[in-house]
Amino acid sequence: MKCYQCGTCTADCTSASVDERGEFNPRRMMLDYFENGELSELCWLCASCFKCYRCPKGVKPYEVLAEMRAEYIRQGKVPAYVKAFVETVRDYGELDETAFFMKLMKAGKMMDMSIVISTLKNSIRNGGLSKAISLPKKSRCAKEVSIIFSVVEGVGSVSERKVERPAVAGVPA
Amino acid sequence: MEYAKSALELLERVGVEVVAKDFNCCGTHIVEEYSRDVWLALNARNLSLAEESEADIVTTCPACYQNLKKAKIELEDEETRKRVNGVLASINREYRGGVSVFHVIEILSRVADKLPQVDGGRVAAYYGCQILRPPEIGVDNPENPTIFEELLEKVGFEVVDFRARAECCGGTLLLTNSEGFKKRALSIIREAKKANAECIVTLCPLCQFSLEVVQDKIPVKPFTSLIVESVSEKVSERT
Repeated sequence: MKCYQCGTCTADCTSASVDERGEFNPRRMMLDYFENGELSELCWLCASCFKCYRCPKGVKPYEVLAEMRAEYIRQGKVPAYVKAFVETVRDYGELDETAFFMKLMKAGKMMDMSIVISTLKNSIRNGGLSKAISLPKKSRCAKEVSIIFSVVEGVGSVSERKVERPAVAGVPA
Repeated sequence: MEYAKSALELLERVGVEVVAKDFNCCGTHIVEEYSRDVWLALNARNLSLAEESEADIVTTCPACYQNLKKAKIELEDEETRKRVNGVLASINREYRGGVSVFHVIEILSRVADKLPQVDGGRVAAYYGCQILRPPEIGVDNPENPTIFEELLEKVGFEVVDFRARAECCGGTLLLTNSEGFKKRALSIIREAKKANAECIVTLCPLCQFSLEVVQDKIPVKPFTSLIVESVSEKVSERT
């Protein structure tokens, strides 16, 4: 194991800094992964901020956590927000916010209402009501993007994958 | 004024010829983890669009910048490029490998003397994450970046000493840990106030969103918007 468990990654970690339960610990997650091949569902809480790049052993903890997420996806354990994101890109060519939001709602993903309300207020302030509430719209490249998805992995693959909700408390569905 | 619109205005002002293209989403790390080849093909498509116009790519978003640049480096491997071009063939496209990727701050800071001068106030320059990290992709030394402060000072702003400038805004936690998101974003705001800034200046649409949406005590502006707006204020004061 290249990682010598110094914990620099964890000291620098954004997600660890906002985890009051102290469960989010990349050093520990890497130990379990490298020694026993164990995945941790906490990997979905990584902020992808790359603060952990200062690894004295050059391990790149962010890549280890990304590999854990990729492995979960290969096993068919795809969190609802990931599924909604990928499907929005596949169907719209870009991250159409209305479409993404609707897919999240459909999957039963609960949003933090205080953030939803301030987002709406903010959009109205920046561009008026029509900007805040708009119908989903496919971008011009949507067709080519859908072709890319279907050529790489066969038609309809995202929705055919089994979606499971991670069991750990506090981990997003 | 919107970030993208003001960035275009400044690019044109400094003499950059801008060609609008039908770009797709970069996919971010989410699509990368979902399917590496879909992610590579999405970015290769964007690179091929620039290539057909003999242009380079400039982004306003550090995540787009990072994904394009990462994919571009991976596509330098001939075998990878051949495999991905096999996918692009289905939409009659090909990427040959000759496009450079820039974030708009890189372009504007190279020609900062051509930018308009403003009577700027006291601002906190907020880098966030993906413009600096990982270091092999970032636009400046992640331990002690200067590119943003230098640009803002050159056009006439006073840049405050801002401890949280390269911390994470928490924006990526929005859907996974909303309490953590608010905590992070508010801690950035607190540091900016402590530094006595009148405005926080961003170069990332997600940072912009995060810092704007959690509070209304201190204005938050994309840097190009602030420059363009300060110029028009200056003009309207004179008339």
